[in-house]
Amino acid sequence: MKTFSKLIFILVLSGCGPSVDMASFSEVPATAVEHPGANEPAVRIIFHRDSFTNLEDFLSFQNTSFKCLGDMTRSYQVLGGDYSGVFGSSLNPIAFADSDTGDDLHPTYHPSFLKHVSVDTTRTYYAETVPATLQTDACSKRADSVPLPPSPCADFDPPISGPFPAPSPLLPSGTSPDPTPEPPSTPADINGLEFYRVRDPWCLGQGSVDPIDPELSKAYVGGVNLDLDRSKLGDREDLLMLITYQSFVEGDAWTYAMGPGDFTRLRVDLIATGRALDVLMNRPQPRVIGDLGEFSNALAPPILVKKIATLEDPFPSLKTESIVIPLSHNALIDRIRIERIRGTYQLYQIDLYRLGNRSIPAGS
Amino acid sequence: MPSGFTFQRAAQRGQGQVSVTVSDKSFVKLRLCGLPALIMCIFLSACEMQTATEETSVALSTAGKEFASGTKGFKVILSDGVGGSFSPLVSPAVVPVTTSIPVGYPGYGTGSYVPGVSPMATGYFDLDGTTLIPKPSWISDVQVGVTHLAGAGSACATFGRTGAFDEPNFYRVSERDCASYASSTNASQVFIRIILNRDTAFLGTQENLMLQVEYQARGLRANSDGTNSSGGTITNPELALDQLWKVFWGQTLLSGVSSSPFSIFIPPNHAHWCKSGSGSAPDASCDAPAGNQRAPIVTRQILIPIASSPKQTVIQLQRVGGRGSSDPNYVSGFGCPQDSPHCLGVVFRSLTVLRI
Repeated sequence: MKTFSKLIFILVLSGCGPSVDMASFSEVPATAVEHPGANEPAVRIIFHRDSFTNLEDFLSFQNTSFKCLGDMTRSYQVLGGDYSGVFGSSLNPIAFADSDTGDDLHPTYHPSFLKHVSVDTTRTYYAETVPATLQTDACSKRADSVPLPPSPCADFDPPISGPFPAPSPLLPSGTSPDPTPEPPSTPADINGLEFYRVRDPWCLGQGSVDPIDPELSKAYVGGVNLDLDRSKLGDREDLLMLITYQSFVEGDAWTYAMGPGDFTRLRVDLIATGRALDVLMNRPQPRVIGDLGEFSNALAPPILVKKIATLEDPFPSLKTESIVIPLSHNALIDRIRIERIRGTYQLYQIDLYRLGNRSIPAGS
Repeated sequence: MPSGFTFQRAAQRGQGQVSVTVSDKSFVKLRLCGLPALIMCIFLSACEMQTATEETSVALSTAGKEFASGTKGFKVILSDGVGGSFSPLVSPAVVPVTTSIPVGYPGYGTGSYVPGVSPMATGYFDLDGTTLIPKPSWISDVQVGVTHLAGAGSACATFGRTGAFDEPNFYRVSERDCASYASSTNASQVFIRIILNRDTAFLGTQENLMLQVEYQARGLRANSDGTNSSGGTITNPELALDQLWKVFWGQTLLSGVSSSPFSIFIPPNHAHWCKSGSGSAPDASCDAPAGNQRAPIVTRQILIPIASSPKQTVIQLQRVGGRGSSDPNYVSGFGCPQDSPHCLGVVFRSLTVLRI
């Protein structure tokens, strides 16, 4: 019987070989064309200003109706270098290819299970410029009846030596007030490394909980949204998230991280937004949850898993935290929200790994 | 019959599964084959037909064994003392030097590497740490990198000996003595390396690994973990660290720092010499050596998602460097003597590897 099977098999192959040519097999699934990272089971997100849309970039390129401040424009392969490649101290990170910048909905190539990444951004427009003259207005709260003022609270750290942002279009010379986007007395940097950072003292009134109480008004802004496409993940798949960040403690002198002052606390929640990519990308900043942000309090999306991790470091460290994201427990989870509860921090990198689609529990 | 279908054949080729979509044109060609095509599908047991709407981008499929049988975990006690995996006390006998990657190891024929010291053949323990077991079939080797023989003075990385700030028998790294191992090339000599056998008969395609590292890590200043204590401009937060270890993973045994960085392992340090401070000299907030407390022994779990990358065969806890090695005066200024992992450094006690 075995010999007969082999014989039939050979006959089959010899008969069909010429007909099933390689040209036909090269027609890969459409999903793979749209998402070249579809077969990449992991992604690295480096929170450097070069990988996200920020106020300065917005004036010059990739200015589309579906692209707002704080949206990711580039992601990286996990088998390349990490964030430290930016400093030249390690291997350079390997980016997934950029797509056509005219492609509104797919500004970057990344694994298809990752729908979108954005950070809360509070420096969303230049206060002294003429309203409705900047493209960023569509992404900010400037059109609100009582617009939230822009703030350096949550943004990408500008280089210490500049160039500093300049408003565009420029106002005529002699215009009062002076259209300087950042008052010189308010330095907008932590260390000039150009990574995403939130500095607590600058967040007054930017939070979503209570605009009156000084401490609460600084809370719940400066977070990160990692939106997932669950249709591109197996039913039984979980994720591993590695977050590399550094918290700071404000002391008498900023350069001394430890001191009798504030501390940083981050929280990780798993949320169901049910939103499509175009909706996610078209939301004004800052995208905090609450009446002042992405969702109204009444329509706030359900937090399906709250505080799956709380990050607080007594020794403000550059460090990596490892968190398992149990997606398989609820099919509706489509957002990992890293919520800043309080404090100052700088975010370097987040990696997401798929832990395997298992038909049976591990160890069975 | 649908107008198109996906022809999907499970084939284990080291990377999981091959998925091919056959277009309408191909379908016509296959249909021309008629009965032979049908028979082919019967004999290829993994062959499936799906409608076009079921077309999928197969990223992680269940090709091969999801979970293999066999030993689920082991422990290596990182000591050359009695009861340790590296006993007897004479281990290591020589300091390993750069050599070609041996036959059977990942990367053979592609270059050289710095080997480490492996546990004794009888150095693998069950998870209780007392029962000896054979080396699991999914492990090719476990190695620790040493720069000096045990008992040698001014040793950067080796098994410790008696001393006020040393730790007898356990694998330890004294940053005070690592000045000549500051560059990324030489830094690769200090590591804990795990070499896997990714044969799916031993380690399933959907299995991941959990490392449990039992260790003590101590820094000099509580504000030294990535900030600039001297008040200057930071150009690289890693260079401001008292000590930096990362987890790397790779496909060959080439230098660990040339592999893919996975995560930071140290910091955090769990104890510091000073509560705060600046510059390279101790200040009033620093503990006197006599009253100094050692770092607590902690166990840290590191989940390695090997299911996401079937080619990764090497996992390496790698010392990358530290401020002490680039500026020895910095360490000596705080009063750290030679051979002082409990002043600035790390002491490793055990490594447990679990399949999960």
